[in-house]
Amino acid sequence: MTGRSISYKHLSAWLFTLPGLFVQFFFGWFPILFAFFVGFQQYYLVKPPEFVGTANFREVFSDPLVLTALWNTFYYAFLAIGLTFIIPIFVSILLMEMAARTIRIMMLLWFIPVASTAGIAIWKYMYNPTLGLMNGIPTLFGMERWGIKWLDDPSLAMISLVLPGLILFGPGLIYIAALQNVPEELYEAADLEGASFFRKIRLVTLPRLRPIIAMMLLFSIIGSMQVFELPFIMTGGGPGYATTTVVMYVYNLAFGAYNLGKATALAIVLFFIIMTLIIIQRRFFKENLDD
Amino acid sequence: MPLIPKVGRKRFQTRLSLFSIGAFLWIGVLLHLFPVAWMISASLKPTTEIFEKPFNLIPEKPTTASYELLFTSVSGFLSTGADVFRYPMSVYLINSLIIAGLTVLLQIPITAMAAYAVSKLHAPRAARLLFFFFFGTLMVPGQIAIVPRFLLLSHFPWPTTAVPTVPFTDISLPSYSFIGTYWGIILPAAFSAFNFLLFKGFFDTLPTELIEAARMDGASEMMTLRKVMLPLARPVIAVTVYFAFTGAWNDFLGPWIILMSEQGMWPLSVVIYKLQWFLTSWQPTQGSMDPAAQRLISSGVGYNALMALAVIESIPIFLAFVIFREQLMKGIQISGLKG
Repeated sequence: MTGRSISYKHLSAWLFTLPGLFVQFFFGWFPILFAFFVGFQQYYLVKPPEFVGTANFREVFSDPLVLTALWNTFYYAFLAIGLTFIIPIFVSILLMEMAARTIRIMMLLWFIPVASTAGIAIWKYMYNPTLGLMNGIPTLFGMERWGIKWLDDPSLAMISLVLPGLILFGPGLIYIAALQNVPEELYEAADLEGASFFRKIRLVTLPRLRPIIAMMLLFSIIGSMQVFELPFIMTGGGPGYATTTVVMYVYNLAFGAYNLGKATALAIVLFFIIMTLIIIQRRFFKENLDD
Repeated sequence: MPLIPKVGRKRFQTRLSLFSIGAFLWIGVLLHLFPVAWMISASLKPTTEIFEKPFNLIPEKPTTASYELLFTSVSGFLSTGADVFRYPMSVYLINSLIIAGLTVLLQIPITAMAAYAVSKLHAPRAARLLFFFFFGTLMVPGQIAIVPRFLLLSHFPWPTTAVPTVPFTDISLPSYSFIGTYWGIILPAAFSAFNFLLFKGFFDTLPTELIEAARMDGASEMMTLRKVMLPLARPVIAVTVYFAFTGAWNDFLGPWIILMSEQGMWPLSVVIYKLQWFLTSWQPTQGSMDPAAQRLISSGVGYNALMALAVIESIPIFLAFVIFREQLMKGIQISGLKG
């Protein structure tokens, strides 16, 4: 190859990369890095911001609501991951046992989508104490209706947020794709050795899915520790502060109280908590068994 | 097929276990479909039925009144929450389509070009660095960027509340506010780290010889990408377009923060939240209700209207699913996470 064609190749490589680079820099990385600046400033509406050292962080740590929000966030993540994370894995494994045509029909029906805020609105309606179906189900069978207050009951509100994910169990697209790549011979070999149903799941299927499970667990930790929309729309953080999560409190501090510095300081605290969880997860759940 | 061996399929025990797995899965399918059916059924009920016979599974007197109500606008004084009715839903529907459409139009070419360059054009060292630059934000909790991104969008490209001046003068440097514009939502979504992974994983599987051959024929890099690579990438493009579209359509926090004060620009995701909030903050027992709310409730705004709005918001998502279902069903494979 001549020198000219190499430089031409590099020029077009960078031209292709440039728009993505621009967007990913300005809206991806820069705001993340700039947060560490915002967290140490006091923001005013028109005046330039003022450096205030660790004042925002001291405010965060002395705020009892921060503790409540942290507790709620851990509680939600614990419920969401503990109760619903393994469901799609096992449903996908079981789905693979069906005939190809059945798999197709089931998947088509299962993945019929509803817009996300629409889905939240449906469940908000379902949970309505007098008009909602969650209390009305017994009346369909001629019984008295349950007097459960669901989202209005502080001790049930958080569980009610997670419950739809438990009731509406289903497979996961990513797991199905990964399962299709497991070579059939492995199962045949296990059959020859007389391995039982569950033994095959444990010794053949799960090890094969391990990298995907590790990655999904990571995304699920990141996602559930940052939950915002679901409690914001379903409960508005209530009753009281029973479902106020950290990101919701960050939002309230920033756009309700206009305390941008304190909001970002809290976001930084959550950032380090999640990064710690990620490091722990990666240490205990290696993606590759050979490592 | 794999867990239950092919031999001995006729044995009673094998058939029983296959049957129970099938039953369990069908229950899951039905449970998934039920809220959808409930949403459609409730949207067709008259308001009186919603309140008087709340648990009817099938509407006694089906009516499209809720849909008609949503597509008319209500004038006059409206209290907070009820003010979503100032515009007919067609306005909000178009807003949602603009935001989601422009996001797809920007995000897919930008992301695909970056992924192609990283996969096939860059020298190995640059490629590895760029790979982490592009997908790394997925591995970092993004909530930390909420406030800084808002600051950045309000005085782009200056991320502070005060725009810096040209040194030694009082002239402010140029800045542009994306708050209250669609661009404040679309620009941050113009690149997607997740779709980048999908594109790169796909381009990695294509043989380099294809590009070499195109170059031999004298095609420019752009021509190679457009004429050779993209036709092959059609399945990935379908999946990424679907994710870009649904992601933008479902986005709530972005429009909520950026378009807060511009009601005429709200997408449906914000409007459905507002309507839902109006319905739940109002109680039937409440005597001292403000007249605007009273008027709306008596004209038929209840959970039937909310569900009708949910149906309207879901139709484009459903159509996108119908269009792209074949590619989605093949499954998405994320490969090349190791760089």
